[in-house]
Amino acid sequence: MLKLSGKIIRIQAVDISKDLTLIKVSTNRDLPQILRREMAYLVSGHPLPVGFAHYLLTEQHQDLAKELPLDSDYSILPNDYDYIDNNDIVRLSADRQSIRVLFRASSPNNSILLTEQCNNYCLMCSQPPKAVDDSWILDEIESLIPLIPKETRELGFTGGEPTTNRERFLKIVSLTKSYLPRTAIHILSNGRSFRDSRFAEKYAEIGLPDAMVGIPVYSDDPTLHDYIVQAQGAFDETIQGILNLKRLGQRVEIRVVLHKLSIQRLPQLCEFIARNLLFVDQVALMGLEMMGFTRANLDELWIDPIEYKDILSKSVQILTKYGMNVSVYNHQLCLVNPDILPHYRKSISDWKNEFAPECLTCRRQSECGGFFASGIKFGYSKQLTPF
Amino acid sequence: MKQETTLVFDQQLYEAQVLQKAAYRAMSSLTVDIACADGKFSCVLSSNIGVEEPSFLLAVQEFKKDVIDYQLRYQLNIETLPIKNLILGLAFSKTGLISE
Amino acid sequence: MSKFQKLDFYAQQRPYELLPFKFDRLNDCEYVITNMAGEYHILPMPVLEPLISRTLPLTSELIPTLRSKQFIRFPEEEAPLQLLALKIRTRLSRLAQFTNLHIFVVTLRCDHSCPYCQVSRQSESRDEFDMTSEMADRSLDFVFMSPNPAIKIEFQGGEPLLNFEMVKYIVLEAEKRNLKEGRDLQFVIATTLSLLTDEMLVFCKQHHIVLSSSLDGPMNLHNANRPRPGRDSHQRFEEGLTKARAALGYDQVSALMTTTDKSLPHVRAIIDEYLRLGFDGIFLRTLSPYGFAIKTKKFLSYDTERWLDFYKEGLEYIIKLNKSGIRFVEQYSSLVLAKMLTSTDPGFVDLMNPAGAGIAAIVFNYDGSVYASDESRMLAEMGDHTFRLGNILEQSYEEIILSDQLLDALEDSFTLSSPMCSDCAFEPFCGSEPVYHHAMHKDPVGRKPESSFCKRNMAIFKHLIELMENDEGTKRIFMGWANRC
Repeated sequence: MLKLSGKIIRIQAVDISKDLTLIKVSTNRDLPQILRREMAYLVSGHPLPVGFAHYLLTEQHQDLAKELPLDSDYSILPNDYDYIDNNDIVRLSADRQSIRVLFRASSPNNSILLTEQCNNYCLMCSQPPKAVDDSWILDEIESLIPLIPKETRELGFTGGEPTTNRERFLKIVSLTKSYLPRTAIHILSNGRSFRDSRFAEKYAEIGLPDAMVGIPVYSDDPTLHDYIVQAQGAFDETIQGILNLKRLGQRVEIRVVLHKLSIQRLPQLCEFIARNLLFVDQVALMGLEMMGFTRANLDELWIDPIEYKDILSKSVQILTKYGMNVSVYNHQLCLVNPDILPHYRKSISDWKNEFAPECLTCRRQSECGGFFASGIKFGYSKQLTPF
Repeated sequence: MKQETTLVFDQQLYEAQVLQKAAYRAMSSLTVDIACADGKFSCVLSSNIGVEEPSFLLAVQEFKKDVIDYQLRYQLNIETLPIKNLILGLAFSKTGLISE
Repeated sequence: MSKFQKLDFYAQQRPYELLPFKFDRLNDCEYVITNMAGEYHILPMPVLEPLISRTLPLTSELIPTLRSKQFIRFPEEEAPLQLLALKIRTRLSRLAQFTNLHIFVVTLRCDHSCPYCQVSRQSESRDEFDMTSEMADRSLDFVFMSPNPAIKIEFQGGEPLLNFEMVKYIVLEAEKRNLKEGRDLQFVIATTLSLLTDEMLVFCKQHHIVLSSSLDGPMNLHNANRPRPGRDSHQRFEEGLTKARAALGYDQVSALMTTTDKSLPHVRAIIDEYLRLGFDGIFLRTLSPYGFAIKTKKFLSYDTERWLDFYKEGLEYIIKLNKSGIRFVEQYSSLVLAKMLTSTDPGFVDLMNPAGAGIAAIVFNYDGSVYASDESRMLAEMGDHTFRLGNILEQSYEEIILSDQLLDALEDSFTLSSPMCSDCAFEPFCGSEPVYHHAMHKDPVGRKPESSFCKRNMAIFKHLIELMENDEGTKRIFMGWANRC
């Protein structure tokens, strides 16, 4: 798993009062001078180009620091940050001697967290909500978006609940439309804000050319859904949010995390979706992540995927009979039935993906989604069978 | 041979239309004459021409079940009439998912 | 430390509210209930009364499903109302599009003399029984008065190929007008294929005309039903089928069966014949009452029972085929299943409410008469002109479409205000059939307890539901069929 943030070894800034905010990284020693003034150069050897606003050196190259042009700002980073590459965007803080990698140009799954606040409190939340004012994040995002390379294929907005601050959310979406008109946008939301028709209309008016809102629905039984997300009335609001978005021609994906509680009524949920929400654009059935709250609620949530493989097949079949697009994510290949294969996606974000020792001899590792690193650490199926 | 039987229903417990509907439903096997007196409905069930005893008895049984069912329907319809109109109102309102 | 609430915290404490639903006895121990959107559920008999009197305990394991299928809701929930409204709206949206199917009877002349056919004539004289171009032009005026973005023109007869000149004329004229109209225009010719020539096939190919033919079963059965000089109806059908498929495309030729008394004992053989000839489905049609109207009620009810056996046996065989991996659909069931399992109205004229007569389909006869449906035309040929809506040369579109004959029949037969139908749990799957009921009972509503239309349909609905409840595999097969419509 990649380290995305942490302490720097040493930061040398000529102007101490200038707390560096966002900066884009370059590895191009022939970059035109005029562009160097806004970028950070990642040092990897000689020669060292002059004129960059900042220089980044990983520990292994720290000796080169002495050879930098006079009065250069630079940072020494632990070797964990070796993966940083051209067009990545980082935030450096002289104050706190820290770095955070906000955007990786080479990654297919960049995700921007808008806030950690959320009005749900899911038992299996991988990003537990915090009730702090983190509006500074929104400020930062507004600076980040203009820096993101225009040819970026996909970008995600997540949280917490990204629509918590509605006005700022709309502003960021609007900025995204302006700066990244060719990027596919995936917004993860509990959908409840969209129950407000006026808010849904404002979102639709922005008119993102290629966007999908991913909204979780965990059961056809409102009580069970509300329990899983720990919020009274959430189901009713979420469904209305979905209806409003589709009414306005917005693309919606329904997401279901599979665990012991949601598996109980999964076929009924799929029938419910087929009868009531046939017009959603796709349905994603996802394996459980062992992060965040999941570990606190393990007894209630954990079920070995091999135990529900037939229920999964039956549920997927219901949706496909009704002509819906279904994808199955975050499962290991040996734990699902063959009929799932047309819908199986190798999907764990590359920065979270690993394999178990049992998988060493497996012939089909390259087709398999692997595991969340958290899964390897905290628990996975006892019935892995290498192909 | 013509079969006949009389059933009595308490007016407090059953609506007239309930008995009429059950009678209508049974008409391929029997006809029903309904009269009311002293707070009771009396229903004289007569077999249709060509209907023999076993079929008649079955039809009488079905009639009794139908009376219970129609009474339940009556109760259900009264209780759900307001919400039914609300839902139909929503269905026919201007805004909606399916654009014409 | 994060604080999580228990499941009980989210469970509803207040009593539930009833949403509108209908119910009927499925068998001796179960009720079938249907919600406003036509979704069904099965209840054990003892549960119905507590459910309705709101004494069903909130801990009952039935509550979550009754709630998610919108039979009940809890106070202040809005999603169930929105979802029901949406589904109702979806189901009804086809109505606004109005007439899609326009049948042109281009001639009554025919080379067959099928005993159950009311309409065909053997006359050589062309003038007597052929449609004129003046009538065709006027009929096309009417066709394009329909607001439907999709228009289907179907040529019938007699044998339409005997007046192929008129078929060509109408196709070319319709296409010319459609340049301005921009509708999705489809052409079908209902033909036995016995008189198909290569030139006709070329024309059909050029104009994307689809052929709808008749296959009653294996050779002996088919030929017995469909006499023609040479007694070779089946052979000619098979030859025509091969030629047409090669010229037009494999699935551009479909087959419909006519069910007669003779068919009833042979459903498996009929299905096998369809399989042999490479069809991927069959329409197990009902016995046509027209032409046999002079029958006692008893005989009719005997017919209904025999037909139901025929249908159930055929369906059982077809399900078995599906389970062994053969894709084969029973089309009548598919239409019903579409109504049971989805919110789409498949637009099947015979099973619509309000009735499909006139508003989903309309017939332009060779002599200028306009009929509300094919059955209306057959009834007229037997001497009953109740559903003749007018004459194309004498009356305007409005006069015909708004004629009292049509509107009264549609209104009177509307199921939601018909006795017995209005309370029936199966009403969402059914239709009104004013022409049939008029033919049988001299009344567009008919008396449903005596109606074999009602009896047959109810038996079919219950049968399909029981099949799905008893076997998951069958339910899944049916889901596939329902969504193909």
